[in-house]
Amino acid sequence: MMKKSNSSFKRGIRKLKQHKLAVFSFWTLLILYLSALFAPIIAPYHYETEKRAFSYAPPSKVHFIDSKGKFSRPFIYRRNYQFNEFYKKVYQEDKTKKYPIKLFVKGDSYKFLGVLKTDIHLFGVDDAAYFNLLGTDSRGRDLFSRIVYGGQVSLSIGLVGVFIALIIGVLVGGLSGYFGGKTDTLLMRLAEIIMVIPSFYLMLSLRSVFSYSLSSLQIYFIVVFIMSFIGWPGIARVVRGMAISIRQREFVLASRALGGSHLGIIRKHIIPHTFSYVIVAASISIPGYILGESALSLLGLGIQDPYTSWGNLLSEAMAVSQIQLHPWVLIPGIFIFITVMAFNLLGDGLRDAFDPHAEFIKK
Amino acid sequence: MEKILEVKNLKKYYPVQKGIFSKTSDSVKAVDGVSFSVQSGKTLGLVGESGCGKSTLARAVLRLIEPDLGFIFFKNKDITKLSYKEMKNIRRNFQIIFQDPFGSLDPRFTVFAIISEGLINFSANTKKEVIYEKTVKAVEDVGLSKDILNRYPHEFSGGQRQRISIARALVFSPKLLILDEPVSSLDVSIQAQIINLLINLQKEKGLSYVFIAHDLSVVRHICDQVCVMKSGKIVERGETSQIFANPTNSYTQRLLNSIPQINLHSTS
Repeated sequence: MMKKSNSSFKRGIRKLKQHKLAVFSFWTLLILYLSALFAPIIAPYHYETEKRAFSYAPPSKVHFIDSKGKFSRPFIYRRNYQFNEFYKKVYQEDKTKKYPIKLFVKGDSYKFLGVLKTDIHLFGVDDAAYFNLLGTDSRGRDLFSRIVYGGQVSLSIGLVGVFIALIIGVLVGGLSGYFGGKTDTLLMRLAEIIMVIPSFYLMLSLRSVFSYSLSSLQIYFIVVFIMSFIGWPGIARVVRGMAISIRQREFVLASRALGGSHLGIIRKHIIPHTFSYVIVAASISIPGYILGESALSLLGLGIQDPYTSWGNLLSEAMAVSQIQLHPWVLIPGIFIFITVMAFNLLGDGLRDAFDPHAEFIKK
Repeated sequence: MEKILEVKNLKKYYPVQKGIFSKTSDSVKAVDGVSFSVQSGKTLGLVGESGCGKSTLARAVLRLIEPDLGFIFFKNKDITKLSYKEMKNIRRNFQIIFQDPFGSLDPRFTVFAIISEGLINFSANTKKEVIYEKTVKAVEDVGLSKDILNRYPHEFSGGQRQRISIARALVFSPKLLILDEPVSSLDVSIQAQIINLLINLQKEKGLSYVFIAHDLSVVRHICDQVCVMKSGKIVERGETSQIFANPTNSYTQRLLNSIPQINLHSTS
């Protein structure tokens, strides 16, 4: 058998592996995405499960040492609350009975991936106690569970949105750069019109085109549409620039001499040469999509209660008093921060590994 | 003898734009009214200094760039006004070899994909086995082994890459090859190999060549007729032996005098 030579892709992967922060970011993101995929299993409660009595309960204390000073498996105590003189709930642990944290416990039933009906959760406690790893929200819903479920929306919107924006951007940029002339003028002016409108206002006005009361799935797709509508012109512009320089290379002329059609040349010779940029641009622009979704949901225009996304969860933290009294409502923001950081670092690593032009800038 | 290619009064101007409103003030006359013809089975040389419009002419003749004026006849058929799709059927009759063996092969394609690209474009329904056989044949014709088919262009030297370019051009047996300085970026020993390969291929397949060069000794070796170009115009033309023996145009004379010669007696 003939041995196939190393392609530039394999060389890029090898270079990427030397970039420690990028590798670390990659694994962080992988864990986040897997937890979003397996959200119903990982979350101890369903995102709609609410116990009004436990509104704004602080994170449960996980104990390792019991009242007798003996080391034991992790457990929590049941909590009771009293009102203090300001009518604020004060939670106290009832130390009479330990509730050990168990693995693979039965809890709220759910359909895994939409088919498999089950009620097994990765961890949890017996029903008598309410286990809130990261506290609860105003309606006593478990924040950790809602964050895990919210990741499904927040994390996937970045991927889906970037994917759509990339397809449009690469196509428009490729056509525009390859053909030049009037096609180029028309497409690029269109892109510029979208680019000159401040993106946040554009987002709000696009959102206002659609009805306010829609199902959560519809809203999800509207948000994806809005984000990719705003995102494609930037990609199209850079791809166009690359296409202009590539179309003058001799292998493109050669392909024309070989009877290649215009679209075939764009597909086979022009667009693949922009991939090094496109991969990097994708990973760097994903945070923008996640933040955009968060912003929309924060304003109540994106994902609506009871469905959850990280931006939607953060809307509880809009008042300073909330942050003072219940600082744990800010935790979804930490997840956004981690994800955005990880994508940026991974994007840096990808750029170093795949974008041949970037090396000169760095040195 | 049959004319395989005839070019009449071909012009290609590039506008020079000035000012913020891109006003076209002047134009660079890259090819300015060139006429020539190539006899079937013969080699026509196009010589001239760099920047005199040789490469532009080569590309305009194949309509890789659109000429502004003039006519191109291939086997007495006017191809100047054919649409891009109509051109496709004609294109299998002529091919071009570029000067830069590093820029003319797509670095993301394997050698097999590079060479078979034309075959696939021109005959879409050909069986995979036939394409493979023809590709192997083309590679072996240019003196390479079929083991290279799964490798990428960056793994080859300039001479090998130029051989791959020739294989790509010849795989669907065209009649006419335009060689745009095919050897000027190679070192001298490799130049000789490629030139000899081209001469052998011409004999075997009865090809016609348009050989573009600035190296006159190579032109003398390979060409039957020569056209001398200066600033987009042909200033002199004729049989190779005649031009080299007694050039009439002063530019041609200067060009010929510029060939470095080793004179062993003058220094002693």
